[in-house]
Amino acid sequence: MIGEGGSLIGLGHFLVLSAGLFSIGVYGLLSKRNAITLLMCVELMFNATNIALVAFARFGYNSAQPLAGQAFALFIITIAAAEVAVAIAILLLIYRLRGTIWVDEIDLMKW
Amino acid sequence: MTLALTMIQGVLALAVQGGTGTGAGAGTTAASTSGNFLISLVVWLPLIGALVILALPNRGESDHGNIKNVALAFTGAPLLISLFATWSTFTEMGVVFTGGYKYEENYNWIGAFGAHYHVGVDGISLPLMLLSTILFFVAVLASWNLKTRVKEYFFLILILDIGVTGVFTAMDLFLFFIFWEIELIPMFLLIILWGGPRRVYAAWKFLLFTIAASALLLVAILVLYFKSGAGTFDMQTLASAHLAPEVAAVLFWLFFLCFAIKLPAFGFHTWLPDAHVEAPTAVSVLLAGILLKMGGYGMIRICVGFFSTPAKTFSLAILAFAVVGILWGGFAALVQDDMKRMVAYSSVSHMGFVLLGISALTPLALNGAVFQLFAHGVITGALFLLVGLVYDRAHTRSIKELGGLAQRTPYLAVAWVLAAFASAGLPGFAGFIAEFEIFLGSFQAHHVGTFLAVFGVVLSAGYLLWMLERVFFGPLKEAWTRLKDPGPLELGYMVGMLTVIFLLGVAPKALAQMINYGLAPITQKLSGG
Amino acid sequence: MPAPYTLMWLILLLPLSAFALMFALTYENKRTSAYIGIIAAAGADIVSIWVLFAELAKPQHWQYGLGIFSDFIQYADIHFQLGILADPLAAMMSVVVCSVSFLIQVYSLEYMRGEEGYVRYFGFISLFTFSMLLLVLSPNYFQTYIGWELVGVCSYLLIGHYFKRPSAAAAAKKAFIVTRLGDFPFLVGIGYIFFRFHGHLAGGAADLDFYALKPLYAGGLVGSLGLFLMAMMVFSGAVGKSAQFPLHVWLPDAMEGPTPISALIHAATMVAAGVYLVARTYDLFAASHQALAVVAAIGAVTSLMAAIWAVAQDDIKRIVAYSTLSHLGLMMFGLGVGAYSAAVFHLFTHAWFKALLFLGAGSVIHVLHTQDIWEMGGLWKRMRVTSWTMLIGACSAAGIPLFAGFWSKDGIMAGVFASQNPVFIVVAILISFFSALYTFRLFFVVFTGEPAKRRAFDPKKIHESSSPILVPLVVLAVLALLIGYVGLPGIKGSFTQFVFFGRNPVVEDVNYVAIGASVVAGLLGLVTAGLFYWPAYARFSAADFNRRFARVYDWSHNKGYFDEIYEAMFVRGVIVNLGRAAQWFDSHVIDGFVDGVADGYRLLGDRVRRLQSGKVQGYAVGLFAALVAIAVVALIFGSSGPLALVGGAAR
Repeated sequence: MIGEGGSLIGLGHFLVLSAGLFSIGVYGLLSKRNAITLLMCVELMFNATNIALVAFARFGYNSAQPLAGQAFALFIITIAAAEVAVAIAILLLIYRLRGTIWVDEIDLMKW
Repeated sequence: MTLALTMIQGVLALAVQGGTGTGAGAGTTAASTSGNFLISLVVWLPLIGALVILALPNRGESDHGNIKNVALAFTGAPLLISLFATWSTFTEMGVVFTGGYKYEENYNWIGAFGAHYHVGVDGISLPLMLLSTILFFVAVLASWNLKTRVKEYFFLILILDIGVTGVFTAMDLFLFFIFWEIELIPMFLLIILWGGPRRVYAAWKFLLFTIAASALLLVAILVLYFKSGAGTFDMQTLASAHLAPEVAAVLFWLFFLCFAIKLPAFGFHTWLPDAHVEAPTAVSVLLAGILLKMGGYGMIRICVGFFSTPAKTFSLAILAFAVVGILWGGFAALVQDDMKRMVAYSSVSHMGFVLLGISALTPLALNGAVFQLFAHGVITGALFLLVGLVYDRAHTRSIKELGGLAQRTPYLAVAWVLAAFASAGLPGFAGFIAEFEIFLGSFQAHHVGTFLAVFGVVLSAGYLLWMLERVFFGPLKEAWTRLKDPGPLELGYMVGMLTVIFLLGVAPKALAQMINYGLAPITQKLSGG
Repeated sequence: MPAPYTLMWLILLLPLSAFALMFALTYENKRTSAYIGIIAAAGADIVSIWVLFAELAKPQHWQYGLGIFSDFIQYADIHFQLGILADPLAAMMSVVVCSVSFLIQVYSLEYMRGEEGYVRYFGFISLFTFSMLLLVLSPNYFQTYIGWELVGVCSYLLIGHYFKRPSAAAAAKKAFIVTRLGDFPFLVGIGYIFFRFHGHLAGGAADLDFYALKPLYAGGLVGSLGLFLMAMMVFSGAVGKSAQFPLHVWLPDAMEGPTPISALIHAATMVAAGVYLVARTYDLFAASHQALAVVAAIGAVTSLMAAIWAVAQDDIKRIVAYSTLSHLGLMMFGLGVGAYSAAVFHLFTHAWFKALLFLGAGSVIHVLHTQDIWEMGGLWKRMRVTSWTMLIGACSAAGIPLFAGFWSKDGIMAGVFASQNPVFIVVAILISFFSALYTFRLFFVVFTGEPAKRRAFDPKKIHESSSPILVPLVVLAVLALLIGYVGLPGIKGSFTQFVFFGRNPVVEDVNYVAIGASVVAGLLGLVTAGLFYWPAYARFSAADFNRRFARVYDWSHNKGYFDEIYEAMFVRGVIVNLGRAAQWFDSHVIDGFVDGVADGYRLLGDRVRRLQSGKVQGYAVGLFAALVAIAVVALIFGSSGPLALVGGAAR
């Protein structure tokens, strides 16, 4: 597949990469029990999204909003950092209180 | 108490300033009268009180005292203002006040769909506003000995006050709905937090019924808004909106069902006894004294006032509701053992009289129905207060367990006998005037139905006097030899209530005339269409 | 308006302010309170008598509104008025009410001495007097109904004077509810009258005005069925208050009140109100022959039944109570057969001799502290004044010639004979017989012979009552002896030409057949009573007779079992069960539905909440499954497919 400007690597490649990373993230999120791993999987999914956004910004260039994709990506990175900080703090507390960070053992919030 | 008094003085000075600039605007509609905020004061002063209570500390006895004083002041001031409003209307009656609305305030509120902040009082709503301010003041006094969660309690009472007075004074249907809803949650919380053993069941049942009513009300208001095509919620405009007959009929029933639940009419009445039995005394007073009146008020103002043609068409159906309710409530009251439940069922019966008056649609009967709203509010309020006084002393309301109390608590017994006479519709008390007007008026429209309904007065004499006999007369039972008569505070508010009942019973003319002015547009519409 | 009429508001104001004064100011001071009541009654009596003399001089009709209460309720075309009415009937009755009230209060000074609730008692008597006067002087149905209900309230309060006694509390309640049972059709009847005649009244008249309505009843506005129903509804009120069959059951129980109260209720207030009402609204009844027939029949049945039952009672007050019942029935009977003047005259004479009988009985009870006639006996020598006055009362009540009761009863008899209805005539004669029988049975058993063996007293300690008790007795005895002569038949200026119905005064022919039959029956009753109960002349044993005719005696003694039948049929059978049924329906059907709705949602919630497992990854699976599903839908249908409904994918 030939991308824009004759480059071998085009939008499709980035999207495939993004999809692959996202799928790995989803797989990990659904299958792992360790909350830290889950967090990392969520990070993977964020980054997959970032790749897609930046790629769209690069290849689907819109002169009205030249930096829209990059801005989104930067937003997500910021949010991800904040989110990780909060999540790890919660996990730390949960570990102290319950002695585990395996998510299937933390099911207090149910009927 | 002194704190409360000074507060009342200050607020009154403010209100009279606001009130003196009125009068000229009476009778005219849609006039955005500025500098006249009498009604707003009555409605919103309790909010200020509620906020003050929120800000007050709540640690010990003295803090409780402060909270109660604030609550008293902020229910007392509206009482004085509405007394002033009523008095000035009485004195102007026939001269300046010849019907229509007084103390109108009209401001644009939500322009997008034409909702206005539009309040005012006419001959129907002014008595009811006065009634609610009286009963809220008395309810605060009746809760003077409350010790648990004092802050929250008086906060909720004051919020409730806003909703109720708002419903009676709103002239904009959207505003009406908002106030209607405001009243709901405080009532629910008051029952579920300060109630008796089955309070959770009772509170949810109350909520279930009234939420259903609210849903009907909302639907009805929206349908009316869109079908009328007037683009406004103004009640006077909507009252004369031209609707297709079938739309009018559907709307009539939607509104009717909503108000019938609140009234409560037969079939929708079972929330009432439960809610009353579980609610604390003051809340029962408010519930029976005013909240039920919202149903009756809505029926007269909206069901009859807006939809006079369907009201005539379905007059017999309403009559059926009324007659069954009167007899049903009366018979059920006869067999109750819990005094409070008995009084609650008597309310079902007496509100049936209101419905009877509404079904008849004659001026006399409608006048009686509004009179009955007021009279029943004070009388049943007094009865619930008295049940509370018995319960405070004996810690039971079971008629079987009580007996011979008159020997230990003569003042309480006298008050009970007087209130029971009033409730049984005996002359000299307000209830008689209302019932007499209703019966005479409704006979003009329904002969057999009225005959059956009037049997309700025999039943009411039956259950009340039978209860008196078993609770107060006969030999004193061993368990009650140490009961004490009510103290000055309790006697004070009881005397106040009984005085109101008595005065209306011997001098009903002014109130009846005022109601007549209020009903004039409705009766004109009824006779014209 | 001439002088006494302008002062008539005093007749109402005095007793009312006495009541208010006693409760507001002098509740602690017994003597003062009692004197306030007596003076107020005396004052009202003086004005009443003045009015009566003015009426006698020149019968006329005046009425006017009562000051600020004149427009009691007034708006639009509605006008309910409180006012004052003066005409011969009202003037006559107000004198009766005030005088009897006055005498009874004097009597009570002594009788109630040392009793609990002394001031309460006098206060309620004043209120009672006021209520009755409000009714008597009422110019319209509205005020009449107010007075009517207030009279009921006062009787409730006074019958229940000894409220610690369960029987007194029950009797008070019973009296009120049973009379209310009659009142409710009366109220509807007022509604009917209002409905038909409102707007047809002559100009300026308040709604429901008696005199304004007079010409309208028969004026063709209402058909004969309507008139009949109207009259029956009004009559039903009278049936309740005057304790006519079938609502007579409250009256004997009402004996639970203090004896002077019984006298007041029976002579001048409460029960007299029913007869007065029919007399006051006689135009309505006269317009419907069927209505008059019903009035006559009900009156006859009540009168005869009560007279028979009275013979089998043992309680001195109950005997007198049944005698009242019988006489009231007789008045209704008279009104029903058209003997208007005679019936009203009987109401007038009856007030005096019945008050006398009750107060005499009270004098006996006061001394002996028992009400059982078989524990009395032989009082003739020991209580001379009481005995003599009771004898006069008995003669008057039994219709012995020349006593007051005779003259009025004779008029009713003449009316009954004039109706030419054989059943009525036979019943009337039987009533005469039985009323003489029970009256003199009472007299002989209590006063003649020797003190009873199962007596409740020591014969030596028996003494005559003191003067506050005796003075009213003597006054009433004189009245019971002489008052009848104001109604001598066939004489100009007699009662029948003062209070009459229709345009012209009635000059009744003396019907000697009627008088003869009635007198013979009465004397026969007297002789029978003597043969059974006067020890000196007794030829038969009442006990034997009762045993032989046990069934009749039991029926009579138990007042025809009406209480039991009503209790079983209506109170327990219908009313309570209806109440229970209503209760059951509420808690099972209506609440069943409501609770069912609530339970349904609860059940649904119970199922649905299982989805909330608490496992984060479970939620994630749902999330991604939904994502995939949306993606698939979008791929298959494109952006205009089902997703367009959700809105998001539309663009």
